[in-house]
Amino acid sequence: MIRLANMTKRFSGHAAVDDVSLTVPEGGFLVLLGPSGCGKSTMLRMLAGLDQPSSGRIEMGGRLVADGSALSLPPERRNAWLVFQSYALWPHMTVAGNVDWPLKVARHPDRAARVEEALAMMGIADLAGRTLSEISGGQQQRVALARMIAQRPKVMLFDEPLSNLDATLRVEMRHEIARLHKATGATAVYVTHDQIEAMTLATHVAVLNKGRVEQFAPPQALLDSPASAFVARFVGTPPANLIPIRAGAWFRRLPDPQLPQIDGHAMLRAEDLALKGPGPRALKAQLMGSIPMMGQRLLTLQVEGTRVTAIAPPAVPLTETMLVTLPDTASVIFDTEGYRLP
Amino acid sequence: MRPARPELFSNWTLHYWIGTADPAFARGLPGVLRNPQLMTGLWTTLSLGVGVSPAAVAIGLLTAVTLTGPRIAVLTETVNQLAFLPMLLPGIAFGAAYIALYGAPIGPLPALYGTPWLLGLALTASSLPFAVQTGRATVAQIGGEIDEAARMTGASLSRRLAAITLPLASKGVIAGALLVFVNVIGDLAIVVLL
Ligand SMILES: Nc1ncnc2c1ncn2[C@@H]1O[C@H](COP(=O)(O)OP(=O)(O)O)[C@@H](O)[C@H]1O
Ligand SMILES: [Mg+2]
Repeated sequence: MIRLANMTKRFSGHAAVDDVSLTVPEGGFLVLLGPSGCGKSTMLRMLAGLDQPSSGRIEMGGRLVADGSALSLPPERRNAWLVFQSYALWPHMTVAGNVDWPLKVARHPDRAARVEEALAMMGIADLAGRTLSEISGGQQQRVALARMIAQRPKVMLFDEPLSNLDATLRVEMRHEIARLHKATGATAVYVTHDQIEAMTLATHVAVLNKGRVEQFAPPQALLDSPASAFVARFVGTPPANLIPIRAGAWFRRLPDPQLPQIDGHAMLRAEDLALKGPGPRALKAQLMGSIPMMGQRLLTLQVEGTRVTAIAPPAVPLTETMLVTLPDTASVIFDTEGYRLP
Repeated sequence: MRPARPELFSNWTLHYWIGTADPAFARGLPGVLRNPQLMTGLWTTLSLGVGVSPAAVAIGLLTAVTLTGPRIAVLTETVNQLAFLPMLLPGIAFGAAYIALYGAPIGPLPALYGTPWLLGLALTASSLPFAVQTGRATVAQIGGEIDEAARMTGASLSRRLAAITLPLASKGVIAGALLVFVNVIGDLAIVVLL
């Protein structure tokens, strides 16, 4: 279990992590999702014990490990390990040497067996004697993971571990990490700016914006009921359309009694927009581009100066100008501040 | 492949390098490696290289450590740019500047003109861009996540230095020293002037 209470980190007055409170159950998979610079790595470093919170508390497995400036257990006493974005392998050691060194420092009694087991689990037993310059990036990632599991941590921390891999390897390693999590039963905290990784791995997602938690929820809940316009823009494949509304009028000019009489944005998924018309709810759209996807095509359209995505079934011909029909209702509305209306 | 024709190489010789004086060959000149004047020159150059490299690398590493320490954005950037300055100056200007600076005695220091010390000083300064940049690369590599991974294990500072930092730094230091060395022994303009 991991419990954060009002965790805050200030760098010369500026709060990089701002009053974060959340709880993840034992064996859970927490993903910290947010754009670059929102404080994800800073949070992870505080969990690892490399940094100390300016204020707030961190509990791991029911034990207080950090409490503002009063207490901060060193990394080796937290039963946690961090997989760094750069892997941070020790380039002058062999593959086996990298996995072995943390055990050596910890004076583990049965290092050889642990190393062998970890390498086998990552499928790199045959690389044990290689130096790092002799193996590929994907294999280095496996070494970094083996170095962690050999220590059997209760908490596994990952800082954008897949960002240096190509697309195919990324999918493969994503599955490997999911497998490791299941096999070890450890609690995982995983940092990424890639919402697909978040959606596929997480039991809990914390969407971060400027050091604050925008929403803390299971992945499906983020899609179904995003708490803010920021979250709605960030998650989903493709991300939802946020249609500007003014005084209850779509795109500021098509009045609709179904909409609340306010300014803000209405959330529409790509599949909510029908490529048909004319009709009272149809609008003219310029076709900007199309991507084939699962037997259909994902269209980028420009409507009243706003870019939207829609899905075109195979039967629909693509033309330079098209008609899109709005759905009867929009269930999710955000005000001008981006907060969701009840 | 065509068979190599032996006659093509038959008149190749090492005589110009290592031959003793022979009136029948090359107008009686001995090979260059037997020319005493040239050998002194060669030795001076090599020993300058050997002396200057560690000095430049040490300064480079120190600068790099200061640069990567607590960041004061403007200062760091300025020092970083200043370290490139010697590269912009042609060797001749550099040599002349050093004659002007150290040609006459300064206080208790004797005039350095004509001694290898002046050469060493000028060459060290002119090598700093290489030294500082390789130093930065070394420190950046070891100072960041690689050392933090070692910190995660709970290893003490001395243990990390012995097992991680020093073995890694030695590679960077050797690379930097080689770069400076090559730079020094190839630098004609400064040496000619001083
Ligand atoms: N050691 C530090 N000193 C000062 N500012 C820092 C430090 N580390 C991070 N920051 C700042 O904190 C913010 C969050 O950084 P970070 O946690 O690395 O973001 P992320 O990992 O989400 O990209 C950034 O604005 C960054 O500049
Ligand atoms: Mg980061």
